[in-house]
Amino acid sequence: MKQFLKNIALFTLLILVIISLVQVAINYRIAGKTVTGYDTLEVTSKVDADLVFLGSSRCWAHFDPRFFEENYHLKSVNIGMNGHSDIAASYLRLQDYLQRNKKPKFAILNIDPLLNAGSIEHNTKFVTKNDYSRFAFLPNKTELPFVNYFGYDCYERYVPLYALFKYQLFFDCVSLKYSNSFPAGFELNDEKWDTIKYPITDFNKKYFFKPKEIPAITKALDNLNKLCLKNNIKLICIQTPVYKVVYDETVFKTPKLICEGLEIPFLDVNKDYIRNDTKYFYNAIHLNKNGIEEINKLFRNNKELSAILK
Amino acid sequence: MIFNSIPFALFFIVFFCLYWFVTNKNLKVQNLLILVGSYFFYAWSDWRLLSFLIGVSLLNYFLGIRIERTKSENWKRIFLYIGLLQGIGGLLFFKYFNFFITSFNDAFHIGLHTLKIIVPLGISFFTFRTISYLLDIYKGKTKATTDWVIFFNYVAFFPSLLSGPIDKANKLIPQLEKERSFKYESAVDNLRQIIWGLFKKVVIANNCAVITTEVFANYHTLPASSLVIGATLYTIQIYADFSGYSDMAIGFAGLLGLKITKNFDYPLFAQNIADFWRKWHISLTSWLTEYVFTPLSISFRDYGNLGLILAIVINFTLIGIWHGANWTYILFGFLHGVCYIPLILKGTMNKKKKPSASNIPTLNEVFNMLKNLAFVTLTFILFKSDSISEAFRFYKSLFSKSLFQVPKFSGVSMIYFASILLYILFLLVMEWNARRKEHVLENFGMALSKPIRWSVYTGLVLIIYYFSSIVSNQDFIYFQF
Repeated sequence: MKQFLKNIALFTLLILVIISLVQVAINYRIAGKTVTGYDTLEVTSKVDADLVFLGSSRCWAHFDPRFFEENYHLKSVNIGMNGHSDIAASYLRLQDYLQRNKKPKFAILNIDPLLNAGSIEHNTKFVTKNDYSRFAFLPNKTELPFVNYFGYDCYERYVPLYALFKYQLFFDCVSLKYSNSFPAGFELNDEKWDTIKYPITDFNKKYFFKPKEIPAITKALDNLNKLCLKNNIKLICIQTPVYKVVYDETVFKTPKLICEGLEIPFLDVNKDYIRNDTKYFYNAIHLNKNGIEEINKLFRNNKELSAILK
Repeated sequence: MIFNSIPFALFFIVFFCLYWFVTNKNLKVQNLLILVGSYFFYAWSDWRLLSFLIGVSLLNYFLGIRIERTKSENWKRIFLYIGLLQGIGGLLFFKYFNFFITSFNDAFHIGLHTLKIIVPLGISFFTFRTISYLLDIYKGKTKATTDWVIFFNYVAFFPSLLSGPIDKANKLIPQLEKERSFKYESAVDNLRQIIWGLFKKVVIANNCAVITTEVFANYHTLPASSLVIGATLYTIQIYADFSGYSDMAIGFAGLLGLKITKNFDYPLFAQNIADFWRKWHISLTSWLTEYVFTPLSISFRDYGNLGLILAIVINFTLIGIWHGANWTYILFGFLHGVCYIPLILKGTMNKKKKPSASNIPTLNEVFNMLKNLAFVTLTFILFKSDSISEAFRFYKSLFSKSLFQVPKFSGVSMIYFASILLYILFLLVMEWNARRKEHVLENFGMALSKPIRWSVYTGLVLIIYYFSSIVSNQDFIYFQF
């Protein structure tokens, strides 16, 4: 029995050592890099930008940091989170950014009726959970809020390699083949709208916030604004275009009203000439390169934005 | 609680330590620990019917003693019938009541209500154990145990409680009555068998399930070539799933110093259907052979081959029914029974083909294996289908012109598919090489140095770890039976 237990212990130890060593090697390999292109927590460390862009995939797809650097001479970084239109996620992302960087002067939040309040403590949005699973194992203090937000279980947190295997990230970590997916620092989709892949429908309207959700959204935005004020950051909200089938004049007026109530500067670049033309989009709610060039023209010529940023 | 889960691993580690370090001095306490552990294991899966399991054990315990002690043949028979009534009645009620009602409704177009019944996990397995126990006592083949803990353990022994093997009383009870000692060589061998069982379940069965689930759900839109692959993979899946479970069950029981019945003997290499059933779910086949086929063939002996055919067909139809309340299972069993007819007529049913001494199978062996596997695969389509009409729709799609198209599977990459095939090939090669052994890794690598042997174990464990994390775990198919 003694021999048996000794061998079992040795074998278990051997397995533990191997998987721990592989986990350490993986951590070393991916340190400071992005694995999928979306896990931008580490690549946006120590960038000390003056301007950060917050929001969902619409933020990630629409705000070109290089444009703001060139035109406003503000070092910029896009930290939009794909799939996360909850303000709670933007709050968390900004908090994380502040721990890793000097405080920026400005924060631009992509605002629209697709927004919702969300919750950090009781999050139910697990989109891109696989992208963040690289942080799940033994998270440090900075990563912990994100690990909690995505609700990684104890096995994912304490068993080496488990999270990377489970979320099928292991080979991507080894190859890092997606590491340079977004060299422009934001999505920058150069494709025309493939209407077979992304049919022209008003499907996204079902995600519009309901009137009863407005108080919660207002409160969440107020919290985000307070976080910004506490850190001497000027928060600006910008509404970017959607294709006309998703547009609803009444609903798209609400973000402005919310911002006015909270005294947050609001800018609307959801112009009809953009939203009426498919050439500016790669799907109903995301602009392609043409669309980004168009809104950049609007940003360049916008006196209100210039007054704030300059 | 399933074997390939962390809760079970934790449970077994604690149980193992208590078993060998705390309770090892006293057999009664050790047996009591097995019982508590078994009930905990059962309650973890479904606590609601634990009382049923205890009630069944209690009734059969007393019936066993009464059958043995009663002098009157009539009373013996009455006690036996009570036990059979409870066993078969329980099975009929829990597993087949709704099936009878719906079949009755379909046949006579009436609206009898079905019941919301929770089927006790493992009922088919522990019921067959209690029935064989009572029949053996009645026939004088075994003695009734007076130790209730031992009998309750015989019914509910956790490694084989949910999916077998179905042990005979005279195999397990004597072992429970004797003190167990820990044997290093045997324990290491048990661990090897557990690793191989895990490999089959986690790497082969769970991965095959990804493709078979997709194929059987979308068979009407996929080319026939995909259906052939899906159906073949389902045969591999069900084999790897069930034999993997059995390997683990045998391994865990072995770690407790108890030997339970071997359930599989490399059935994928069977040369004909009789050979297949000598190697597939051995404990069920031998149970039915002893208690159904043999009495039937004796009753029908005056009718020659016709009697034998009748006995076989009834026996296999019962095997089908045992699996569940669905016409698909009944037809599955019936077809397997019918497939015996040529063997009976040729007089080769009981002829065991000598396995080839060479490591490379002969062409004839390969042909026979493929022929048998093709038949088994076709009948497992029934097994997988929800209804006979669905199975026939699958067959119709299978035998269509698209049989020669390039197979496709939506959502499954070619690399993934190729890797599954590679693992299956590894399984087949390992099993072929081990076909004369008790299990694939028996005495594995004894000629190799320890570092090389351990490297192989480590490799296997890491592959199992990888796939147990990445592929969603499927319930063991035989849990439903």
